[in-house]
Amino acid sequence: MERVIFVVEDNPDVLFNIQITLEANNFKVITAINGKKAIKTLLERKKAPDLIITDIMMPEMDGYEFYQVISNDPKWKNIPLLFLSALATPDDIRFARILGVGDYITKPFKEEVLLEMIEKKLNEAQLSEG
Amino acid sequence: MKELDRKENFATKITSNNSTMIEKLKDEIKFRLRVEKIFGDISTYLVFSSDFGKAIDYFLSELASLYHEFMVDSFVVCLFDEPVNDEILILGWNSERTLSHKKDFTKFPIQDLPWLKQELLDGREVILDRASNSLKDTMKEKTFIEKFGIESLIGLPIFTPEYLAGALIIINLTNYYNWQEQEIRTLRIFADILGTSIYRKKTAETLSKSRDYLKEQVSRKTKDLLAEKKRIELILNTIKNGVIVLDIEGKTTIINDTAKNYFSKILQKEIPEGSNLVLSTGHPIFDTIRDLFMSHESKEITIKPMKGMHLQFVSEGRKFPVMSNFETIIEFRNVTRFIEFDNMRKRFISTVSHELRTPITVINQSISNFERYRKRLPEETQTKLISSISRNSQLLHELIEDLLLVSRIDERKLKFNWQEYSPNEILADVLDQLEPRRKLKDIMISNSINDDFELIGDPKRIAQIFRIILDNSLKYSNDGDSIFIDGSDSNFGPYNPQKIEGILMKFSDTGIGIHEEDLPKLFNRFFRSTLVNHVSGSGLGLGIAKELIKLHDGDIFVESKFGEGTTVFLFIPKLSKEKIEELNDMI
Repeated sequence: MERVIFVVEDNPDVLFNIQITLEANNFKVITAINGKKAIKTLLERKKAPDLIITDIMMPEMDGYEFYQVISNDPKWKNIPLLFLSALATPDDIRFARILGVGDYITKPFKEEVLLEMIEKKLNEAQLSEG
Repeated sequence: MKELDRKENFATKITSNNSTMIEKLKDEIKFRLRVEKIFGDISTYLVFSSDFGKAIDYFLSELASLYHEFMVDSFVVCLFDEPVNDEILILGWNSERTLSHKKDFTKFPIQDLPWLKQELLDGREVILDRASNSLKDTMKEKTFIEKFGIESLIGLPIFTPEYLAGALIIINLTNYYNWQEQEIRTLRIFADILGTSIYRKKTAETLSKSRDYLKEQVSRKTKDLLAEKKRIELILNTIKNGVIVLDIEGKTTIINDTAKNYFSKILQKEIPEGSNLVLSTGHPIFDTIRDLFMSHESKEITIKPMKGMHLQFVSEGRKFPVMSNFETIIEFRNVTRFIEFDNMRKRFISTVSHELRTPITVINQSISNFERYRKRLPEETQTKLISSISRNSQLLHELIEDLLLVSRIDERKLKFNWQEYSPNEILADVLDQLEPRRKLKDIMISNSINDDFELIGDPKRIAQIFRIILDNSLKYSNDGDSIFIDGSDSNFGPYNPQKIEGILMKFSDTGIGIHEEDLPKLFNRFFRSTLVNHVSGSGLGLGIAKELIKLHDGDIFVESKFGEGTTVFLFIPKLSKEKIEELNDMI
């Protein structure tokens, strides 16, 4: 079955490229260009995506806020989530961990890293679902 | 019966003999009691009275009444100055009788009696009696008596345990009295009382003088210490840093004005001296003070007690000073400026790295996708990838150039080439450069500046400013939009409040316009409106333009209506040579 990845990213070029990569690896990709629009999209969908990849620095609602909304909603809190961001100071990564997001990919990234992380998160989710 | 009578008779006889004796004895006892009283009361009085002269007068009047029957005319107490010299102070005299027919001895003229004076000064007893045969019979004595018509004079030295203090003189002027040895002995005792009293008084006086001296010294030292304390307080209160000193319990012994002001601002109430901040609760600032108070080593804590205020607290730790005075000295200073600057710097670095990483990411991703999946990707997608590489490469280049420019402006390393230039000419050049982009979007640019203004400035920088403004106009206009450029002499108008001579240039476009809420942030570094995310830009352009025009002593303003278009006003003053020098120093 096709796995659906929801990519939230404000830069159209970055988004475009991630989409190409993921689709070339047999994922279905849905997109949103900021946190606010992402929530709207999630609400509109019947089925939750299998994984969310989100940028942090975005207008209107940044990645942190978006994550907090997601993790507090029973519908979505179990969806595995990845941060993908150019913010890469130890403080940034620490902050993400404090929030509860242990998985963080910094830009620029190698495709392998992204794909490995995606697989890992999906497997974890599957195991916990049992 | 007869026995009793005989006894009675015998008793009566004895009694009648005894009664005279007893009467005499009674008188004697009375006299002795009075003497004793004088010995007791008066000597004490002499020592402790504040007016010694008065005490002596009283003493002498007691003596006078005691010796009333002895017909003494005068009692005189002389005090010799210490160490004994020629000066004799008549401390007191008492004259019961004033004589009308004899020389008036109301004041004892010792200075006129050199012989007597000398005898007394040498500490010898003088006992003169006209009728007496026991006199030494010196000529001097005889002459003295004749001269002054004295019946008798007794002069007794007053000795203290340490020195000869003076003399007690008893004079019978008119009436002769045969002084008995016993009586003179009593007089000697009075002289002794005087001596002891004078000595004790002097000792008491010395003590009291020392006491007074000590008191004075202490008072002076206390004044000095108070003055010193005031001086230190003045210094403490002028220091910009807050200083708090806590005693062993944590009570505030010293809190300087700066500290008081900060505390009252933070806590919205006054902190009086003596209050215990260590035991107070209700605000993180108390936790900080408690922390420092309890620490045994030197410690530094920075806190944010209220919005917009960062304070750095420092304490040296509890040392054990010499006086066993377990004081804690806490100092704090306002480091808001440093913290804010540091935060700004961190934000800048964070944003810059983000801005640089993003195009690099795109380039890498695009190349990677192109390499791996080209065969699978439709033509359109491939083209998009290539163009995104080229676009982001260009963006990276611009970004780096802008950052370098910003950095040089910040570090004041920018060199200006002041020359005469024509803004119109520069504008023409810039428009030339932008021609391909203008054509691509089919945007019309019209320049209605016809005056050939001559200004002095750095043409390269002016060109940069024009380019930034026009670049924005082009970027944020849609196909078919227009840009109008105008310029006029301006020494008045809303954008020239100081009415300086210069040129006001107008760049108006019919593009997408700017949201009202974005207008104030427009010139902030890296600011990009959320509405133009799809358009690439460094966010540095307007900030740079503003810095550059300010270095020309000019300014830049933006008016805009969202959805209708934007107008950028650029004011370039006509610069004098002096102004240019001034500006050069600024750079």
